[in-house]
Amino acid sequence: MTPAPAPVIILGATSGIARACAERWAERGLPLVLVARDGDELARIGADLRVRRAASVDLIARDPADAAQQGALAEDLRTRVPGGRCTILIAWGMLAPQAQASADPALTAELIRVNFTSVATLGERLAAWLAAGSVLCVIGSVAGDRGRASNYAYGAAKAGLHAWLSGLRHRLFRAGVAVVTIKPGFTATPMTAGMLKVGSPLVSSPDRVARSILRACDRRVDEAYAPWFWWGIMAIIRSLPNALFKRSQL
Amino acid sequence: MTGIDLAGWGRFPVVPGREAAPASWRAVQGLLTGSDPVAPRGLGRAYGDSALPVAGGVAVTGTALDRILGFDPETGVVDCEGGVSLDLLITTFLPRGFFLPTTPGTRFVTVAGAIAADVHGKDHHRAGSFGAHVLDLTLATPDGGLVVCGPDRDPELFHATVGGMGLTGWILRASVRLKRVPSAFFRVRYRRAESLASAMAILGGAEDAAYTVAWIDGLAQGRHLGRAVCMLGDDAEPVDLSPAQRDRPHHRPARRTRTVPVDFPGWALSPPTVRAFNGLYYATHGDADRIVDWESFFYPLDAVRHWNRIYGRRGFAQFQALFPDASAEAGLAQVLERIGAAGAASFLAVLKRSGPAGPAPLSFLFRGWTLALDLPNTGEPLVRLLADLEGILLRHGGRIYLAKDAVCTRDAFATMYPRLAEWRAVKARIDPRCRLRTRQSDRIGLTP
Repeated sequence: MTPAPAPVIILGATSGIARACAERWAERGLPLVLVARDGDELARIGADLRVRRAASVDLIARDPADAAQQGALAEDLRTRVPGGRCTILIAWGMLAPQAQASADPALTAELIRVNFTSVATLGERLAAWLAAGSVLCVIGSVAGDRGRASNYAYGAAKAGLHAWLSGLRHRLFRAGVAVVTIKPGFTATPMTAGMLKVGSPLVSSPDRVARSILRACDRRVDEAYAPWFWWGIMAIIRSLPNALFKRSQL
Repeated sequence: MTGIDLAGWGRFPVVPGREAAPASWRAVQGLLTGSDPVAPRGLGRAYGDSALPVAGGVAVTGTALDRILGFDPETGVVDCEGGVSLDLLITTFLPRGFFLPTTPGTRFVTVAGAIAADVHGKDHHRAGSFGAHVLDLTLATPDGGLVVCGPDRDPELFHATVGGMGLTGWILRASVRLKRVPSAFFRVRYRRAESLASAMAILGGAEDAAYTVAWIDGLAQGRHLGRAVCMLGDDAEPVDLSPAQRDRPHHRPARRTRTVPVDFPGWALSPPTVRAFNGLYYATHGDADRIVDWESFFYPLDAVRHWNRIYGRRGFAQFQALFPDASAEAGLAQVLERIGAAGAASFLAVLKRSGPAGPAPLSFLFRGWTLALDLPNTGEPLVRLLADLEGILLRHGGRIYLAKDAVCTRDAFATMYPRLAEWRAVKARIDPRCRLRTRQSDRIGLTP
């Protein structure tokens, strides 16, 4: 008898990229556990997966980014994964125009809390019980590769996240747990609505990014750009000398 | 929210505006209770300005809310969000043996749009329009609330919403009864008609057929005026199919889609080229009986993505008229003659027999004949032509279809739709401050 397939847990499951990933994992017949703050939206996404993909879906209506709930949430998830082997996708995030964040210190702090601190605190609680064979996949951003005038609070939080994930990967390697950092480029999702140029060839669909995420999880790669071509773009942007970079319109 | 140029499928008119795409019910409610007037929008397939915002308004596009919420395989009732496309319903449920209860000529419209325009199809004479198959729906109202209505639950609001162009509340979800079909194929009889009268005789005499429509050569004049290829279709039973098809009768045959990559230049649609195309179409469609798959049968134009680019950068208007039985032949002939006189190059026009009117006050169809055709935007001549066509409609007791209109006047609209006051009473109850309004609704007097 083959063992039951390891479940996939998606935290921040109402995001556009998360929903696209859930569809693709459901197509493979994997059991899903979806967690999101907005229980009503979560219920609708769960219903859609059940009707269209005949998916096995468990729903947990909790804010995964709320530090006060993270202890109970991590414990709840542990009881749903006998043996501790699973795939976890952390997909929540928050974006705001930099001008607003610059004018509002509370917004800057919130961007850093939601995009970095809250991921790190829940990540530690999950890392405590993840068993060999598990994958912890977290959505970072190309914005974390180099701070730019247009979104450096968001970018800084993602940069911190990248460094934290690098350390966690280092630590969990011997335990057989893969830590996957995904760096999506411009993606047309509800989070970015109104902030991207419509129709630009650089803007990807959530489904395109989801394809990259599933491939990265399957291959247990350490870091992946989504789609892949952002690797080249960011290699150039990272290598620009500051003297040039700070004068640019990037 | 982005500032962009917005247009309907005909790309006439084009207006500057902003567009928002809420991804949660709460976000919709936030936009409705905000400060800017809201123009509800789906996949943008209405031809004119039905989904274009007024100055200072915002187009709120519902396509991110596209979740299917439930399905009962016993009854075929699907519960889904308004942004679900008819295409998604087909790809999800045809393999399970169900098809749309009725469908317009494109499957790239949303369920909310299909309800708001109360769309109809080739089976209107038997199935009625889309709204007849809606069991209930949930509206986000401008006061920030949610209201559920149906034929037995606040029927005034329900019927004002069917055909109400999205102006009686944002259509968040609906349950729709799909129909069980024996296969994904149709038995189609093609019959050539040499004149308008002959086309009407063939369609009128074939009301036992489930689906009837005629493609008319809009450029033929004189004794060929209204010459047509009539199509009379029925659902194909497995026994009608080839052995390969019979094994998987609901299987979707793989089809290549083509895309029109760029706007065509203006001369591409000059009368001689269109006349040649239409003549070729007529000549190559002799009397025949065939088995046709659902995609070719219902959605021939969907196979060509962005086909509206064929009309070039200036776009086109679609004109769809409905005439009552008594005046139909005279009215249709005058429309075709006027278009011929204008030398307006129109591809094949579509003629359809319509069944009895439904209960919705703004629903388009009543018992009679409806003709739809494309008219390229030639500027002032097009505006004059459309005004003349409106005059022909008014003289014959006809009306235009709001989903295709870009020019109808307030007075003409009030004459064409005598139940307007009934609809406005519901609008005043649900949306007293007219938060939901569009360029079209302001123009024709649905909103002040």
